[in-house]
This record gives sequence, structure tokens and C-alpha cells, in this order.
Amino acid sequence: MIAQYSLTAGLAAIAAIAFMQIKKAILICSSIMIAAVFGIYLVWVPEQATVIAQHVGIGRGTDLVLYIWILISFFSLVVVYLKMNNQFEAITSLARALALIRAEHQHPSDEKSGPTVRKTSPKKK
Amino acid sequence: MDAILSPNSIWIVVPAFNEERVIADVIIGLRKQYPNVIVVDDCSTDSTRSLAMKAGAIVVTHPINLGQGAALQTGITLALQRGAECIVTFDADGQHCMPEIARLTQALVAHNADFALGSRFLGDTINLPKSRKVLLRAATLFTRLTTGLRVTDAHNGFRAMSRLGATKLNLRQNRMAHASEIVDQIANSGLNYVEVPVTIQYTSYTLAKGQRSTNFLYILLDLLVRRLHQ
Repeated sequence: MIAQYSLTAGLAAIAAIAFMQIKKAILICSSIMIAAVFGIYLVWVPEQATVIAQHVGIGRGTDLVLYIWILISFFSLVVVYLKMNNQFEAITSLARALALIRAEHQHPSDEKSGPTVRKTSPKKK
Repeated sequence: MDAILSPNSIWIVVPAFNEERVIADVIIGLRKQYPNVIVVDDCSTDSTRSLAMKAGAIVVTHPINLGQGAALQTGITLALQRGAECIVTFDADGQHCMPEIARLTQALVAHNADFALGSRFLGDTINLPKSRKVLLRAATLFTRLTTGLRVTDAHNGFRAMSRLGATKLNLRQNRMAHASEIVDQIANSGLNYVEVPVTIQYTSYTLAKGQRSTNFLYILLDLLVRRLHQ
């Protein structure tokens, strides 16, 4: 029973988080909520997983859950990778813009890269 | 393209990362004929930037290391901003042959093309390792299959382009896959290109600095992800 309560709490938390974010990505958040609620159902009625598994040609319910989990993980990985690419493109654009602005203001005697750091002499007391 | 390109209208873009051993000689050699040399320092940790500036190059420095493709795009953008009529991309490690720049730029004019792509397989290679040759051939085959252009050397960084050609490029592959991306964008632009025989000289320095064989796997991955991303 401890495992069932823990899993239910975890899945309920996921559903709640998805619900709070639903305005940002309605399709993804709705899918997560449905999956979480369905997960809670399977936690409490595990024999249903086996029934569904056998309907789709998989022997055991645990195998079905495992395959779905692998698919979700792979999909998430691709989404995160593409988002990371987007962010890296934004960083590249910013870095390029900064580099070009600095090049415009470059003085031939300036040999330091990045912000110019000048040494100051200590104040005489 | 104008019938004759003056050296002042030709801008050389040299992406560089930790090239302090060779950068000064390369820039001094280039500037004997071409006054406009842009070095894109990709956040080197050595003296590349200061040596390039002392040698007379315009130096633009990335605040973070982005990769050769990003450096090329930065250099091309700056050259266009400064009014370049023709842009030549040239490696910092000295494996390209300076007198052959004229061959590339003349080919642009002679063939009324917007891109002149250097080809080591139409020209010559010095000390090219066999394993590298096999990988370059495979990369070329991949590029031919994916772009439809019958290029003979897809990963040659020695190329010239007209102003129009340069404006059509928008490199998003920051790392080494940019070479295939350039060919891809040339194919999509519908502009003319010509391949020009060039000589690539491999030394222990260029081989140590150049791509490792395993990088080709990353290039392939980058290209596949980019196809997903489009």
C-alpha cells in the first residue's frame, strides 16, 4: 500500500503541475494530466494494465507501461534537445551582435578581448 | 560580378581559435595582396587576437566559444557591413594556399558565378592521410545525396562568394557541419556555383588542429537534428 500511496501522490503532483501550466501549452499539459490520471487508475487497478496490454499484443501490463515510458522519455529527449538548440541559436545571435558592436568600436591599440580592464594606481594616503 | 575584382573589394574571412603559432604569418601573407582581412577570434585562450591585430587584421572576437560555422557567419556579416564585393573564407592554420585566392575570385568572374568552391579532389593534396580521405569522400557523398549538388569536396573551407551569394547564407550550424550547410544553402539559393581546383597542405600542425575522425559522427548528428529542426 505504501507504494500505491507514494505513486498516487507523485502522479497527482504531476497532474497538478500540468494543470497550473495549462495556459502555456494546452496540448502538452492536457496530455500529461490525462496520462497522470490514467496512471493513478492503473496503480489502483493494476490488472487493467494487463488487460489493455493483451489487447494490443503485449503479454504483461508492466511491459506495456515500460514501453510507453520509453516512448515518452525518447519524445521528451528530442523536445528538450530542440529547445536547447533554439536557446543556443539565441545565444549565438547575442554573442555575434556583441562581437560586431565591439569590432565597430575597436581601436588598433586595443589588444584585450572582452571588456577593457584598466589598472588603476592605488591612491596615495 | 564586375569584370575585374580589385583587391580592395575582396575581403578575406579567417575563423581562428587558438592559432597563435601560425596566425601572424597567415595574416601578413594575406595582407601583402589583400588589405581587408577579418579574423574572427572564437574566444581563443592564447594570443591569437593580439597577434592578428598586430599583423593588421580587423579582429572580431566572440565573447564565448561558438564554433567555426558561427565564426564564419560573423566574419561574413562584418565583411558585408563593410561593403565587401567578394568574400573569401580562408583557414587560419595555413593549410590553404594564398596564391590560389586569385584563382577562386577569377573563377567567380569568369563563370559569372556567386560561389567558387575550392576542391582538393579536383586539385591536389599534400600529406592527406588515407583515413581522412575516406571520411571526406563519405561526407561528400552524403552532401551530394542530401543537396543534389554534384560537388566533389563538401568540407573544404577554402571558398569565395559574391556579395549576393554571401547575403543568401545564414549559417545556423555553429560547429563543423556548416560546410554541408553551405552547400545546402547554395542549392536552395538557386545561384550559380563553380568548383575550383585548390591545393590543401596537411602538416602535423593542421592535422592536430583539424577535425578528428570521430567528429564526423557529430557532424552527421548535427545535420540530422537540423533536418528535424527545420
